[in-house]
Amino acid sequence: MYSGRMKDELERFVASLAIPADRKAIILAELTDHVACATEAAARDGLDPEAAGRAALGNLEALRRSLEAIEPAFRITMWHAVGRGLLAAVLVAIVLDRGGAVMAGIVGAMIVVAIAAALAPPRALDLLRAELRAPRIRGTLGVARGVPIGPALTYALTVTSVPFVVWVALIIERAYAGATVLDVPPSAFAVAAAVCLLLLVEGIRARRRAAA
Amino acid sequence: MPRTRQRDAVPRGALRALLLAALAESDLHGYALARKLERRARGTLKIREGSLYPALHELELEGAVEASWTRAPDGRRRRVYSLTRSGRRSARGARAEWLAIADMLHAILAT
Repeated sequence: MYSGRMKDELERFVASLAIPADRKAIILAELTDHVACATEAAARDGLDPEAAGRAALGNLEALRRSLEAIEPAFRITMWHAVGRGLLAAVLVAIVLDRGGAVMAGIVGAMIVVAIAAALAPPRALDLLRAELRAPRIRGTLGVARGVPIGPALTYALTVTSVPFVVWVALIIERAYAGATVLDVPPSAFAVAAAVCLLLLVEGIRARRRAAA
Repeated sequence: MPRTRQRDAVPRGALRALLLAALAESDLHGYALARKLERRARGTLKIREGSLYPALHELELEGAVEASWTRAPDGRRRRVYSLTRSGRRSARGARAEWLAIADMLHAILAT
């Protein structure tokens, strides 16, 4: 087993990571096992276990950067993403529906895009990039290939599609009440356009990175 | 430059393919996974923790691998990774893709 000094160093390192607490426990257990395996192997081979353990830890700052980029994404579950997506979508739908003429143009478009961005799960962009980098798989029906849908894409799809469902429901309800005039402001498509643009840009970047 | 020089920076996509390929053969914990790949590379590759665990966790986020807890012989907790069904599909795709890239590079660079 590796020395108490290294154990303390490892614990301090993991405690200092800017990642969710439950992920810290997992990382600490994994790195502890990793270093212990390295020291045991060195002892078996007649090498210096302390040096082997330290070498196994490698560059802690590089490890910190990598872990802090990926670990926060574990905080977001699919249900979490759906919940936030529904909340953002309903807010977007109501703000545009009740906002009047001022919300029909560029101001409305900027406000609803800001709402969708503000209610996105934490580190959603990092998560989206990770999801878009995933290898293409064939879907359940076996017809098309695409990336598996994770929490970030779930949020994007929810916040894009649900406002239209809300508006269709409002149109039907108002039609029953006798209101037959339909006004579709350009800002109604702002969130969908922003999400499509983001997916296009990040999708191209992900493909380029995969090719590189 | 000797051709057997040890590499410690594997392109991200290649590391994914290597991890998926190793896990397609058996479930493994991080240290065993790294050593298995290094043995297979006959000393030409060194996998650093700075890239190993983040890559494994990224695969876990994507649903390609899943992790379960076991115990090492001395009782410490150990996280063992295995491929999911979609991970097996990804492993096959990544293997074919990287073998094709390797063939293409070999055809161009080895002449």
